[in-house]
Amino acid sequence: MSKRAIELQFHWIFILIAGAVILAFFFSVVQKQRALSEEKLSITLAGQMDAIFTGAIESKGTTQSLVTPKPGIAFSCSKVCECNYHIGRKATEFRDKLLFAPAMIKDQDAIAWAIEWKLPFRIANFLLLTNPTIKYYIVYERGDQLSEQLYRRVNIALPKELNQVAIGSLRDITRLTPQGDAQTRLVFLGTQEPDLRSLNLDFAREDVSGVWINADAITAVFYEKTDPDELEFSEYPSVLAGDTTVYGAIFAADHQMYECVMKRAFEKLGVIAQVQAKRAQELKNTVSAARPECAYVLQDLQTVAQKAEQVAGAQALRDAEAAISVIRGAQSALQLQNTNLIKQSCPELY
Amino acid sequence: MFETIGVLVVFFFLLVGGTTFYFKIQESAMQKELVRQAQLRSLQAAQRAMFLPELDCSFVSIQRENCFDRLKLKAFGSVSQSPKTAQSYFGQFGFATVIVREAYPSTDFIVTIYTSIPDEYGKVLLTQTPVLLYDPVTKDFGFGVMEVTTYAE
Repeated sequence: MSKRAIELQFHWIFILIAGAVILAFFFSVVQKQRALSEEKLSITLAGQMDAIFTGAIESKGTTQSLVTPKPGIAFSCSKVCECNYHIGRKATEFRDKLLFAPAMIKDQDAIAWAIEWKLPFRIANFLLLTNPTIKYYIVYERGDQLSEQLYRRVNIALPKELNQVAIGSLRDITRLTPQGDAQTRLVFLGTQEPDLRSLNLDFAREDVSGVWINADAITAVFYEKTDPDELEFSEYPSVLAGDTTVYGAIFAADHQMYECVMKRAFEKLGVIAQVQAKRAQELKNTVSAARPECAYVLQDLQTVAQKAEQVAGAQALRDAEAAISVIRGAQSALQLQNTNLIKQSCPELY
Repeated sequence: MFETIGVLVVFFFLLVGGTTFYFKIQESAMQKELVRQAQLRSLQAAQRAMFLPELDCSFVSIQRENCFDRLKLKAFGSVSQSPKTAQSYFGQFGFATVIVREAYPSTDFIVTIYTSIPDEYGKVLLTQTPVLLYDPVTKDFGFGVMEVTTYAE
Protein backbone atom coordinates (compact mmCIF):
# COMPACT_ATOMS: atom_id res chain seq x y z
CA MET A 1 0.00 0.00 0.00
CA SER A 2 1.34 3.39 -0.91
CA LYS A 3 1.91 6.18 1.64
CA ARG A 4 -0.88 8.20 0.01
CA ALA A 5 -3.42 5.36 0.48
CA ILE A 6 -2.52 4.96 4.22
CA GLU A 7 -2.81 8.71 4.72
CA LEU A 8 -6.27 8.67 3.11
CA GLN A 9 -7.45 5.91 5.46
CA PHE A 10 -6.20 7.79 8.54
CA HIS A 11 -7.87 10.88 7.15
CA TRP A 12 -11.25 9.09 7.12
CA ILE A 13 -10.70 7.63 10.60
CA PHE A 14 -9.87 11.11 11.85
CA ILE A 15 -13.05 12.54 10.25
CA LEU A 16 -15.11 9.75 11.83
CA ILE A 17 -13.66 10.40 15.29
CA ALA A 18 -14.09 14.16 14.94
CA GLY A 19 -17.68 13.65 13.72
CA ALA A 20 -18.43 11.34 16.66
CA VAL A 21 -16.99 13.88 19.11
CA ILE A 22 -19.08 16.68 17.57
CA LEU A 23 -22.21 14.50 17.62
CA ALA A 24 -21.60 13.46 21.24
CA PHE A 25 -21.10 17.09 22.18
CA PHE A 26 -24.40 18.19 20.62
CA PHE A 27 -26.19 15.16 22.04
CA SER A 28 -25.00 15.98 25.58
CA VAL A 29 -25.96 19.65 25.16
CA VAL A 30 -29.46 18.67 24.00
CA GLN A 31 -29.85 16.23 26.92
CA LYS A 32 -28.68 18.85 29.42
CA GLN A 33 -30.99 21.47 27.92
CA ARG A 34 -33.94 19.08 28.02
CA ALA A 35 -33.33 18.28 31.70
CA LEU A 36 -32.84 21.98 32.45
CA SER A 37 -36.00 23.10 30.69
CA GLU A 38 -38.03 20.35 32.39
CA GLU A 39 -36.65 21.49 35.75
CA LYS A 40 -37.33 25.13 34.85
CA LEU A 41 -40.87 24.31 33.76
CA SER A 42 -41.68 22.47 36.98
CA ILE A 43 -40.21 25.37 39.04
CA THR A 44 -42.27 27.90 37.08
CA LEU A 45 -45.40 25.76 37.39
CA ALA A 46 -44.81 25.28 41.13
CA GLY A 47 -44.40 29.05 41.57
CA GLN A 48 -47.57 29.71 39.60
CA MET A 49 -49.51 27.05 41.50
CA ASP A 50 -48.33 28.58 44.79
CA ALA A 51 -49.66 31.98 43.69
CA ILE A 52 -52.92 30.39 42.51
CA PHE A 53 -53.38 28.54 45.81
CA THR A 54 -52.64 31.74 47.77
CA GLY A 55 -55.29 33.59 45.77
CA ALA A 56 -57.83 30.78 45.94
CA ILE A 57 -57.46 30.28 49.68
CA GLU A 58 -58.44 33.90 50.36
CA SER A 59 -61.67 33.62 48.35
CA LYS A 60 -63.59 31.98 51.15
CA GLY A 61 -66.87 30.26 50.37
CA THR A 62 -66.12 30.01 46.66
CA THR A 63 -65.50 27.10 44.37
CA GLN A 64 -63.23 27.65 41.41
CA SER A 65 -61.73 25.63 38.65
CA LEU A 66 -57.92 25.57 38.52
CA VAL A 67 -55.92 24.44 35.53
CA THR A 68 -53.91 21.35 36.41
CA PRO A 69 -50.41 21.21 34.92
CA LYS A 70 -49.81 18.34 32.50
CA PRO A 71 -47.59 16.27 34.83
CA GLY A 72 -50.34 16.49 37.49
CA ILE A 73 -49.97 17.58 41.10
CA ALA A 74 -49.17 15.06 43.82
CA PHE A 75 -49.92 15.94 47.45
CA SER A 76 -48.46 14.18 50.47
CA CYS A 77 -47.56 14.57 54.14
CA SER A 78 -44.79 12.58 55.78
CA LYS A 79 -44.90 11.04 59.25
CA VAL A 80 -43.05 14.08 60.58
CA CYS A 81 -45.64 16.35 58.96
CA GLU A 82 -43.56 17.61 56.07
CA CYS A 83 -46.38 18.39 53.67
CA ASN A 84 -45.50 19.03 50.03
CA TYR A 85 -47.05 19.15 46.65
CA HIS A 86 -45.01 17.90 43.72
CA ILE A 87 -45.15 19.04 40.12
CA GLY A 88 -42.74 16.85 38.20
CA ARG A 89 -39.71 16.51 40.46
CA LYS A 90 -40.18 19.90 42.10
CA ALA A 91 -41.53 19.70 45.65
CA THR A 92 -43.15 22.75 47.24
CA GLU A 93 -44.03 22.93 50.91
CA PHE A 94 -47.63 23.63 51.99
CA ARG A 95 -46.10 26.15 54.46
CA ASP A 96 -48.95 28.28 55.84
CA LYS A 97 -51.52 26.86 53.43
CA LEU A 98 -54.08 24.55 54.96
CA LEU A 99 -54.66 22.23 52.01
CA PHE A 100 -56.69 19.05 51.94
CA ALA A 101 -56.24 17.25 48.64
CA PRO A 102 -56.13 13.76 47.12
CA ALA A 103 -52.78 12.06 46.56
CA MET A 104 -52.83 12.96 42.86
CA ILE A 105 -54.75 15.44 40.72
CA LYS A 106 -54.25 14.74 37.04
CA ASP A 107 -55.89 14.80 33.61
CA GLN A 108 -58.71 17.24 34.40
CA ASP A 109 -58.91 20.68 35.99
CA ALA A 110 -58.87 20.82 39.76
CA ILE A 111 -61.88 21.99 41.77
CA ALA A 112 -60.75 24.31 44.57
CA TRP A 113 -63.13 25.05 47.40
CA ALA A 114 -62.12 27.57 50.06
CA ILE A 115 -63.95 27.42 53.38
CA GLU A 116 -63.56 29.25 56.63
CA TRP A 117 -62.73 27.54 59.93
CA LYS A 118 -64.19 29.40 62.91
CA LEU A 119 -64.01 28.49 66.59
CA PRO A 120 -66.03 30.84 67.02
CA PHE A 121 -63.78 33.61 65.65
CA ARG A 122 -62.17 33.21 62.24
CA ILE A 123 -58.99 31.16 62.39
CA ALA A 124 -58.10 30.28 58.83
CA ASN A 125 -59.41 29.31 55.44
CA PHE A 126 -59.03 25.73 54.32
CA LEU A 127 -58.47 25.00 50.65
CA LEU A 128 -60.05 21.72 49.58
CA LEU A 129 -58.97 20.30 46.25
CA THR A 130 -60.26 17.50 44.10
CA ASN A 131 -61.13 16.83 40.46
CA PRO A 132 -63.83 14.98 38.50
CA THR A 133 -61.68 11.85 38.08
CA ILE A 134 -62.23 11.16 41.78
CA LYS A 135 -65.62 9.74 42.70
CA TYR A 136 -67.11 10.31 46.15
CA TYR A 137 -69.81 7.96 47.41
CA ILE A 138 -71.62 9.67 50.29
CA VAL A 139 -73.16 6.86 52.33
CA TYR A 140 -75.70 7.71 55.02
CA GLU A 141 -78.36 5.74 56.88
CA ARG A 142 -81.88 6.59 55.82
CA GLY A 143 -84.15 6.53 58.87
CA ASP A 144 -81.35 7.40 61.28
CA GLN A 145 -82.04 10.99 62.36
CA LEU A 146 -78.44 11.93 63.22
CA SER A 147 -77.08 10.43 60.02
CA GLU A 148 -79.73 12.13 57.88
CA GLN A 149 -79.09 15.50 59.55
CA LEU A 150 -75.37 15.23 58.94
CA TYR A 151 -75.96 14.16 55.33
CA ARG A 152 -78.24 17.15 54.70
CA ARG A 153 -75.61 19.54 56.13
CA VAL A 154 -72.83 17.98 54.09
CA ASN A 155 -74.90 17.75 50.91
CA ILE A 156 -75.87 21.43 51.05
CA ALA A 157 -72.29 22.53 51.65
CA LEU A 158 -70.41 20.34 49.16
CA PRO A 159 -69.69 22.01 45.80
CA LYS A 160 -72.05 21.00 43.00
CA GLU A 161 -69.05 20.30 40.74
CA LEU A 162 -68.01 17.39 42.94
CA ASN A 163 -68.29 13.97 41.31
CA GLN A 164 -70.51 12.47 44.02
CA VAL A 165 -73.22 9.86 44.42
CA ALA A 166 -75.45 9.57 47.49
CA ILE A 167 -76.28 6.14 48.91
CA GLY A 168 -79.05 5.86 51.50
CA SER A 169 -78.03 2.59 53.12
CA LEU A 170 -74.78 1.13 54.39
CA ARG A 171 -75.69 -2.29 52.96
CA ASP A 172 -75.93 -0.85 49.43
CA ILE A 173 -72.16 -0.44 49.19
CA THR A 174 -71.96 -4.16 48.36
CA ARG A 175 -73.75 -3.38 45.05
CA LEU A 176 -71.17 -0.81 43.93
CA THR A 177 -68.90 -1.67 41.04
CA PRO A 178 -65.84 0.22 39.75
CA GLN A 179 -66.83 2.91 37.23
CA GLY A 180 -63.38 3.51 35.79
CA ASP A 181 -62.61 6.47 38.06
CA ALA A 182 -59.01 7.24 38.94
CA GLN A 183 -59.86 7.14 42.65
CA THR A 184 -62.89 6.13 44.68
CA ARG A 185 -63.58 7.72 48.07
CA LEU A 186 -66.30 6.30 50.31
CA VAL A 187 -67.63 8.78 52.85
CA PHE A 188 -69.74 7.24 55.61
CA LEU A 189 -71.95 9.57 57.60
CA GLY A 190 -73.54 7.51 60.30
CA THR A 191 -73.48 5.74 63.60
CA GLN A 192 -72.74 2.21 62.31
CA GLU A 193 -69.17 1.19 61.63
CA PRO A 194 -68.74 0.41 57.91
CA ASP A 195 -67.02 -2.71 56.58
CA LEU A 196 -65.09 -1.86 53.43
CA ARG A 197 -64.15 -5.51 52.94
CA SER A 198 -67.77 -6.09 51.88
CA LEU A 199 -67.11 -4.10 48.69
CA ASN A 200 -67.28 -5.87 45.34
CA LEU A 201 -64.04 -7.80 44.71
CA ASP A 202 -63.55 -5.80 41.50
CA PHE A 203 -62.45 -2.93 43.76
CA ALA A 204 -59.43 -4.97 44.92
CA ARG A 205 -57.15 -3.48 42.28
CA GLU A 206 -58.75 0.00 42.39
CA ASP A 207 -57.55 3.04 44.29
CA VAL A 208 -60.20 2.97 47.04
CA SER A 209 -60.18 4.70 50.40
CA GLY A 210 -62.81 5.63 52.95
CA VAL A 211 -63.60 7.88 55.84
CA TRP A 212 -66.28 7.32 58.46
CA ILE A 213 -67.56 10.54 59.98
CA ASN A 214 -69.42 9.59 63.11
CA ALA A 215 -72.93 11.08 63.01
CA ASP A 216 -72.13 13.38 65.94
CA ALA A 217 -69.32 14.87 63.78
CA ILE A 218 -66.83 14.57 66.65
CA THR A 219 -64.73 11.62 65.54
CA ALA A 220 -63.61 10.20 62.20
CA VAL A 221 -61.98 6.96 61.10
CA PHE A 222 -59.84 6.82 57.96
CA TYR A 223 -59.68 3.59 55.95
CA GLU A 224 -56.59 3.13 53.80
CA LYS A 225 -55.62 0.14 51.69
CA THR A 226 -52.78 -1.97 53.09
CA ASP A 227 -52.12 -3.73 49.77
CA PRO A 228 -52.90 -2.13 46.39
CA ASP A 229 -54.16 -5.48 45.06
CA GLU A 230 -56.26 -6.58 48.04
CA LEU A 231 -59.43 -5.39 49.74
CA GLU A 232 -57.67 -5.01 53.08
CA PHE A 233 -57.81 -1.72 54.96
CA SER A 234 -56.04 -0.18 57.93
CA GLU A 235 -58.11 1.99 60.26
CA TYR A 236 -56.85 5.30 61.64
CA PRO A 237 -59.13 7.06 64.11
CA SER A 238 -58.97 10.83 64.47
CA VAL A 239 -60.89 13.76 65.94
CA LEU A 240 -62.97 16.49 64.27
CA ALA A 241 -63.46 20.08 65.35
CA GLY A 242 -66.54 21.45 63.62
CA ASP A 243 -68.18 20.90 60.23
CA THR A 244 -65.32 22.55 58.33
CA THR A 245 -63.01 19.81 59.53
CA VAL A 246 -65.55 17.21 58.33
CA TYR A 247 -64.94 18.49 54.80
CA GLY A 248 -61.20 18.45 55.46
CA ALA A 249 -61.44 14.76 56.40
CA ILE A 250 -63.49 14.01 53.25
CA PHE A 251 -61.00 15.71 50.89
CA ALA A 252 -57.73 14.69 52.60
CA ALA A 253 -55.65 12.04 50.81
CA ASP A 254 -55.10 10.11 54.02
CA HIS A 255 -55.15 10.34 57.82
CA GLN A 256 -51.57 11.69 57.80
CA MET A 257 -52.54 14.71 55.73
CA TYR A 258 -55.64 15.37 57.85
CA GLU A 259 -53.68 15.17 61.12
CA CYS A 260 -50.76 17.32 59.92
CA VAL A 261 -52.90 20.08 58.44
CA MET A 262 -55.18 20.11 61.48
CA LYS A 263 -52.22 20.37 63.86
CA ARG A 264 -51.00 23.37 61.87
CA ALA A 265 -54.53 24.83 62.09
CA PHE A 266 -54.57 24.35 65.87
CA GLU A 267 -51.17 26.06 66.09
CA LYS A 268 -52.76 29.04 64.31
CA LEU A 269 -55.75 28.89 66.65
CA GLY A 270 -53.34 29.09 69.61
CA VAL A 271 -51.78 32.30 68.31
CA ILE A 272 -55.13 33.90 67.40
CA ALA A 273 -56.62 33.02 70.79
CA GLN A 274 -53.59 34.67 72.46
CA VAL A 275 -54.15 37.79 70.33
CA GLN A 276 -57.86 37.79 71.18
CA ALA A 277 -57.08 37.34 74.90
CA LYS A 278 -54.67 40.32 74.86
CA ARG A 279 -57.23 42.39 72.99
CA ALA A 280 -59.94 41.43 75.50
CA GLN A 281 -57.60 42.42 78.36
CA GLU A 282 -57.13 45.85 76.76
CA LEU A 283 -60.91 46.21 76.31
CA LYS A 284 -61.43 45.20 79.93
CA ASN A 285 -58.96 47.85 81.09
CA THR A 286 -60.36 50.66 78.95
CA VAL A 287 -64.05 49.90 78.40
CA SER A 288 -65.17 47.96 81.50
CA ALA A 289 -63.90 50.68 83.85
CA ALA A 290 -66.19 53.28 82.25
CA ARG A 291 -69.04 50.92 81.38
CA PRO A 292 -69.46 48.12 83.95
CA GLU A 293 -72.15 46.43 81.80
CA CYS A 294 -69.40 45.58 79.30
CA ALA A 295 -67.89 42.57 81.05
CA TYR A 296 -64.95 40.80 79.39
CA VAL A 297 -64.13 37.36 80.74
CA LEU A 298 -60.70 36.26 79.56
CA GLN A 299 -60.64 32.75 80.94
CA ASP A 300 -62.22 31.02 77.93
CA LEU A 301 -59.84 32.69 75.48
CA GLN A 302 -56.84 31.79 77.63
CA THR A 303 -58.08 28.20 77.89
CA VAL A 304 -58.50 27.98 74.10
CA ALA A 305 -54.97 29.36 73.58
CA GLN A 306 -53.47 26.87 76.02
CA LYS A 307 -55.42 23.84 74.78
CA ALA A 308 -54.81 24.67 71.12
CA GLU A 309 -51.06 24.68 71.75
CA GLN A 310 -51.46 21.33 73.46
CA VAL A 311 -53.29 19.90 70.41
CA ALA A 312 -50.70 21.32 67.98
CA GLY A 313 -47.92 19.62 69.93
CA ALA A 314 -49.67 16.26 70.33
CA GLN A 315 -48.40 13.17 68.57
CA ALA A 316 -51.89 12.46 67.21
CA LEU A 317 -55.18 14.36 67.46
CA ARG A 318 -56.68 11.39 69.31
CA ASP A 319 -54.15 11.94 72.12
CA ALA A 320 -55.51 15.47 72.50
CA GLU A 321 -59.21 14.53 72.30
CA ALA A 322 -59.87 15.97 75.78
CA ALA A 323 -58.22 19.30 74.85
CA ILE A 324 -60.28 19.51 71.64
CA SER A 325 -63.41 18.82 73.65
CA VAL A 326 -62.53 21.70 76.05
CA ILE A 327 -62.03 24.02 73.02
CA ARG A 328 -65.43 22.96 71.69
CA GLY A 329 -67.00 23.80 75.08
CA ALA A 330 -65.25 27.18 75.26
CA GLN A 331 -66.55 28.00 71.78
CA SER A 332 -70.17 28.12 73.00
CA ALA A 333 -69.20 30.20 76.05
CA LEU A 334 -67.34 32.70 73.84
CA GLN A 335 -70.25 32.93 71.42
CA LEU A 336 -72.63 33.63 74.31
CA GLN A 337 -70.33 36.27 75.76
CA ASN A 338 -69.99 37.99 72.38
CA THR A 339 -73.77 37.99 71.84
CA ASN A 340 -74.29 39.57 75.27
CA LEU A 341 -71.71 42.26 74.50
CA ILE A 342 -73.43 43.05 71.18
CA LYS A 343 -76.78 43.33 73.00
CA GLN A 344 -75.22 45.81 75.44
CA SER A 345 -73.73 47.80 72.50
CA CYS A 346 -70.23 47.09 73.84
CA PRO A 347 -67.15 46.47 71.65
CA GLU A 348 -67.25 42.85 70.56
CA LEU A 349 -65.03 40.22 72.16
CA TYR A 350 -63.76 39.01 68.77
CA MET B 1 -4.86 16.73 6.93
CA PHE B 2 -3.84 20.20 8.09
CA GLU B 3 -6.80 21.67 6.20
CA THR B 4 -9.20 19.41 8.12
CA ILE B 5 -7.59 20.35 11.43
CA GLY B 6 -7.87 24.00 10.45
CA VAL B 7 -11.56 23.61 9.66
CA LEU B 8 -12.10 21.85 13.00
CA VAL B 9 -10.26 24.56 14.94
CA VAL B 10 -12.40 27.26 13.31
CA PHE B 11 -15.52 25.16 13.91
CA PHE B 12 -14.75 24.68 17.61
CA PHE B 13 -13.80 28.32 17.93
CA LEU B 14 -17.22 29.35 16.56
CA LEU B 15 -18.90 26.72 18.74
CA VAL B 16 -17.26 28.00 21.93
CA GLY B 17 -18.13 31.58 20.98
CA GLY B 18 -21.76 30.66 20.26
CA THR B 19 -22.09 28.64 23.46
CA THR B 20 -20.66 31.46 25.57
CA PHE B 21 -23.06 33.93 23.97
CA TYR B 22 -26.01 31.54 24.52
CA PHE B 23 -25.17 30.97 28.20
CA LYS B 24 -24.76 34.71 28.77
CA ILE B 25 -28.29 35.26 27.39
CA GLN B 26 -29.56 32.37 29.53
CA GLU B 27 -27.96 33.91 32.63
CA SER B 28 -29.56 37.27 31.96
CA ALA B 29 -32.96 35.60 31.44
CA MET B 30 -32.46 33.70 34.69
CA GLN B 31 -31.67 36.94 36.55
CA LYS B 32 -34.86 38.50 35.17
CA GLU B 33 -36.83 35.42 36.24
CA LEU B 34 -35.34 35.61 39.76
CA VAL B 35 -36.37 39.27 40.06
CA ARG B 36 -39.86 38.40 38.82
CA GLN B 37 -40.10 35.57 41.37
CA ALA B 38 -38.93 37.92 44.16
CA GLN B 39 -41.59 40.47 43.15
CA LEU B 40 -44.23 37.74 43.09
CA ARG B 41 -43.16 36.59 46.57
CA SER B 42 -43.35 40.16 47.82
CA LEU B 43 -46.88 40.60 46.46
CA GLN B 44 -47.93 37.25 47.92
CA ALA B 45 -46.57 38.24 51.34
CA ALA B 46 -48.58 41.48 51.16
CA GLN B 47 -51.68 39.57 50.09
CA ARG B 48 -51.26 37.11 52.96
CA ALA B 49 -50.82 39.92 55.46
CA MET B 50 -53.98 41.64 54.20
CA PHE B 51 -56.08 38.58 55.00
CA LEU B 52 -54.60 37.65 58.36
CA PRO B 53 -57.49 36.62 60.63
CA GLU B 54 -55.23 37.67 63.53
CA LEU B 55 -55.77 41.32 62.56
CA ASP B 56 -59.12 41.61 60.82
CA CYS B 57 -61.93 43.97 61.78
CA SER B 58 -65.11 42.05 62.41
CA PHE B 59 -68.55 43.39 63.02
CA VAL B 60 -71.05 40.80 64.28
CA SER B 61 -68.61 38.19 62.89
CA ILE B 62 -68.55 39.78 59.42
CA GLN B 63 -65.11 40.90 58.24
CA ARG B 64 -64.47 44.26 56.64
CA GLU B 65 -61.94 44.07 53.83
CA ASN B 66 -58.65 45.97 53.93
CA CYS B 67 -59.20 46.79 57.58
CA PHE B 68 -57.09 46.06 60.66
CA ASP B 69 -58.24 46.24 64.27
CA ARG B 70 -55.85 48.48 66.23
CA LEU B 71 -56.09 46.41 69.39
CA LYS B 72 -55.41 43.21 67.48
CA LEU B 73 -52.43 44.87 65.79
CA LYS B 74 -50.96 45.83 69.16
CA ALA B 75 -51.68 42.40 70.62
CA PHE B 76 -50.27 40.56 67.60
CA GLY B 77 -47.21 42.81 67.62
CA SER B 78 -46.44 41.64 71.14
CA VAL B 79 -47.42 37.95 70.60
CA SER B 80 -45.25 37.70 67.48
CA GLN B 81 -42.19 38.78 69.49
CA SER B 82 -41.91 35.25 70.84
CA PRO B 83 -39.36 33.30 68.75
CA LYS B 84 -41.67 30.28 68.53
CA THR B 85 -44.53 32.36 67.12
CA ALA B 86 -42.20 34.25 64.76
CA GLN B 87 -40.89 30.90 63.53
CA SER B 88 -44.43 29.70 62.79
CA TYR B 89 -44.99 32.74 60.53
CA PHE B 90 -41.76 32.25 58.58
CA GLY B 91 -43.55 29.93 56.16
CA GLN B 92 -46.04 32.69 55.48
CA PHE B 93 -43.73 35.69 55.04
CA GLY B 94 -40.21 34.29 54.70
CA PHE B 95 -37.46 36.91 54.94
CA ALA B 96 -39.55 40.05 55.29
CA THR B 97 -40.60 42.88 57.56
CA VAL B 98 -44.28 43.76 57.88
CA ILE B 99 -45.10 47.13 59.39
CA VAL B 100 -48.45 48.88 59.75
CA ARG B 101 -48.34 52.62 60.29
CA GLU B 102 -51.12 55.16 60.64
CA ALA B 103 -51.10 58.00 58.12
CA TYR B 104 -54.19 59.94 59.19
CA PRO B 105 -55.38 61.44 61.56
CA SER B 106 -52.35 60.69 63.74
CA THR B 107 -48.96 59.44 62.58
CA ASP B 108 -47.58 58.01 65.80
CA PHE B 109 -49.20 54.57 65.58
CA ILE B 110 -46.64 52.10 64.19
CA VAL B 111 -46.66 48.36 64.78
CA THR B 112 -44.16 45.83 63.48
CA ILE B 113 -46.11 42.64 63.09
CA TYR B 114 -43.36 40.46 61.66
CA THR B 115 -39.66 40.73 61.03
CA SER B 116 -37.06 38.28 59.80
CA ILE B 117 -34.02 39.77 58.06
CA PRO B 118 -31.39 37.51 56.48
CA ASP B 119 -27.70 38.07 57.28
CA GLU B 120 -26.97 38.78 53.62
CA TYR B 121 -29.30 40.03 50.93
CA GLY B 122 -28.97 41.71 47.57
CA LYS B 123 -32.33 43.18 46.74
CA VAL B 124 -34.99 44.84 48.89
CA LEU B 125 -38.56 45.05 47.58
CA LEU B 126 -41.17 47.24 49.22
CA THR B 127 -44.91 46.77 48.74
CA GLN B 128 -47.21 49.36 50.24
CA THR B 129 -50.95 48.83 50.64
CA PRO B 130 -53.46 51.32 52.04
CA VAL B 131 -55.53 49.99 54.94
CA LEU B 132 -58.22 51.14 57.33
CA LEU B 133 -57.38 51.11 61.03
CA TYR B 134 -60.36 50.51 63.28
CA ASP B 135 -60.48 51.42 66.92
CA PRO B 136 -63.11 49.15 68.58
CA VAL B 137 -63.28 51.35 71.71
CA THR B 138 -64.07 54.66 70.01
CA LYS B 139 -65.45 52.97 66.87
CA ASP B 140 -63.34 55.38 64.79
CA PHE B 141 -61.45 54.63 61.61
CA GLY B 142 -58.06 55.95 60.58
CA PHE B 143 -56.08 55.59 57.39
CA GLY B 144 -52.88 53.62 57.41
CA VAL B 145 -50.31 51.93 55.22
CA MET B 146 -49.10 48.38 55.43
CA GLU B 147 -45.49 48.08 54.30
CA VAL B 148 -44.15 44.69 53.38
CA THR B 149 -40.39 44.70 52.80
CA THR B 150 -39.02 41.49 51.34
CA TYR B 151 -35.36 40.60 51.07
CA ALA B 152 -34.12 38.74 48.02
CA GLU B 153 -30.70 37.39 47.09
